[in-house]
Amino acid sequence: MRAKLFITTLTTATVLTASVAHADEAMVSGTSTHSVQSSAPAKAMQTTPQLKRPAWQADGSLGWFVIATSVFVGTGLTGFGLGQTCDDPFGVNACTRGTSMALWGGIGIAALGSAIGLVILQKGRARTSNQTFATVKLGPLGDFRLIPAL
Amino acid sequence: MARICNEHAVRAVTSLAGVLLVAVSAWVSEARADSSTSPFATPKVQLGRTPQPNMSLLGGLPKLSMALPAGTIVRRDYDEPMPNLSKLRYLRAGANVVAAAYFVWQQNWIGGREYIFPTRKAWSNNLKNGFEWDKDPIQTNFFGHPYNGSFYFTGARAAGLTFWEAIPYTLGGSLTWELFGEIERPSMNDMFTTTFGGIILGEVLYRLSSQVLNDSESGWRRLGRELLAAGIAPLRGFDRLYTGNAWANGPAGIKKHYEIAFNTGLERTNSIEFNNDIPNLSDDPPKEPVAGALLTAVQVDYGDWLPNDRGLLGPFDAFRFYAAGNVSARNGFQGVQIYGDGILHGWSSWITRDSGHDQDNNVLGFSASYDYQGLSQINLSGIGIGPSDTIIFRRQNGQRFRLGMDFQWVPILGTTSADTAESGRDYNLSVGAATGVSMQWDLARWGRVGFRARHYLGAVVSGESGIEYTQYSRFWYELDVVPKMLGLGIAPIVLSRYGRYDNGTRFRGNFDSVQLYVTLHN
Repeated sequence: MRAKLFITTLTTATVLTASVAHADEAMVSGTSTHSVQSSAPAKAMQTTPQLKRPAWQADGSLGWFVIATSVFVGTGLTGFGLGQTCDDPFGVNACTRGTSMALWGGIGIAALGSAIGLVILQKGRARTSNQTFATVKLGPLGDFRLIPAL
Repeated sequence: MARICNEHAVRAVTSLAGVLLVAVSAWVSEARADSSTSPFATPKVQLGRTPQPNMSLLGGLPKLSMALPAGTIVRRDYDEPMPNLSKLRYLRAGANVVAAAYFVWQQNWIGGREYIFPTRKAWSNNLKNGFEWDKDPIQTNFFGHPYNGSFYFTGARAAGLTFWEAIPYTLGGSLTWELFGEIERPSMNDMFTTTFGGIILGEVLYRLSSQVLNDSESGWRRLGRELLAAGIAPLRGFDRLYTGNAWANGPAGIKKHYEIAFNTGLERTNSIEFNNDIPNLSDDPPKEPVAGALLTAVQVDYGDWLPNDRGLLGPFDAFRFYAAGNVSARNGFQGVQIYGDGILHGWSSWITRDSGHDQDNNVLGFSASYDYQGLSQINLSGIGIGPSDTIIFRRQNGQRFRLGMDFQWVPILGTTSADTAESGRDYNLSVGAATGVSMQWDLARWGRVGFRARHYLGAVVSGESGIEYTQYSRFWYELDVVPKMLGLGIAPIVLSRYGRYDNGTRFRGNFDSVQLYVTLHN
């Protein structure tokens, strides 16, 4: 049961992340990424995606929000776990299971949320700086490269 | 305040992290579409000429490629960190390491292991009581912990850190786990094996996964590559998932020189002998010798041992890795052998006036090794770091001769013994030194012949006080049946150990076997 729960959670996370990313990609390009078939370099240059996004997304400020939220929730949960007192603190019982789950659940949420928030920040900072390296849509290949070209 | 003491609450909390990952990853993905300024798309590039233009590669780097003539291939070194990542990468590496510890904790929790339900009391006890030498089985301490440590290391590397920068994160991850991940007292030997073993295994796995990845591909091939790379280095796969790099477009990777072989065949044990003068202990081995076992192995010889333009070799620019498992019908899973060693830093000098494919060099430097010989009758494992020297002669016809030797400090050595005092283990823990010798001669169409031996000498720090001497040697000869594809191999192995203890007892053990196998190689 536990294994099922964990696997289901991870699978859902993966599939949803990929799906949302793909949908977002199609929205940005105005067409399905799979339909981009031209191999001409000029055409590849023309299809540079432009995503309209609010300023708070564009500069990565969202990242701070994600970090702050996850650290707040994580710290709260870990703090809650630290506040628990079990009759048999070294045994294997419902109390130690729940308490340790709160302790490590909080750590996990803070770590995962911080990692994701930092990625948003890094991408936002790069977006607002004058970095010269760039990626445009490809001619023969779709940008979303885990889905086979149709 | 109500306690969270029921399964529903436990499951809810577990799911929360996953839900958070899903929700925020959706936001992360939006940046991928406009990856024109993504720091993750910024490559270290290698330029080369090709007769046929490859626009899919050019398309990955428009601003750069516009200045390049048509037909130029742009490639990136996946082993190198992105050059322009902000300092936030150091924080993200830390988050990856803690996330790795969280995943390991989840895995143990799912497995129902009893030592991973820490409470406030356990945390305070761990901080208050300090470190000890633990009593876990040798496979846990010398195989499980190094592999666990490789998660921390690859997590930090995947965030954009260099080899050297990732080291303190591995130490930090190990410390976090020891202090807060278990209810048992923190373990000194785990700190050594997780940190040192994790660094060695981690860099090996990270570099191997780099050779699998290809950001310029798409479709099922790309999916297969991402999954395989994630299987080799799981934390790198996790990082690529939540950064969107798993489906980002980019230049292909620079292919490094490496030889990989998959061996399958039989390993026949010729003899196992035990000899001791320990009272009330027979000389019989703990298990009956097994005549034959099915052998499956993978071996990698990575790097060409040629220096960069400054005459240097960087960390693990050249390494060897060997992993084998034995299964027998009588005893089931019989053991595992893992060996890895690589250069940490090397100074190269040319030793002849040959040039081109014939150039010969000597690499003096420092190397590190990880050795785990987990046989059913004798187990030994050690981790070492120290000076080394390797000399390489090359011939244009594909022949190559390499001879290497090293002398290493061994911070931790584990050796099974019949006399382990009241340690509660079946092995002693030692600290000492090791010396290794290796040779490989590639004879082109006449195959390959090789030899690798390592000797350990350690003073027991936990167990029966005394000294432990162990040595392991493997010879091999492989002949190609189909050149660059299929060959046959034979490899005798000798392993012996000798313990002399302060209480006057002695314990000897000898093991020798021979492997016969088919090898599939590049």
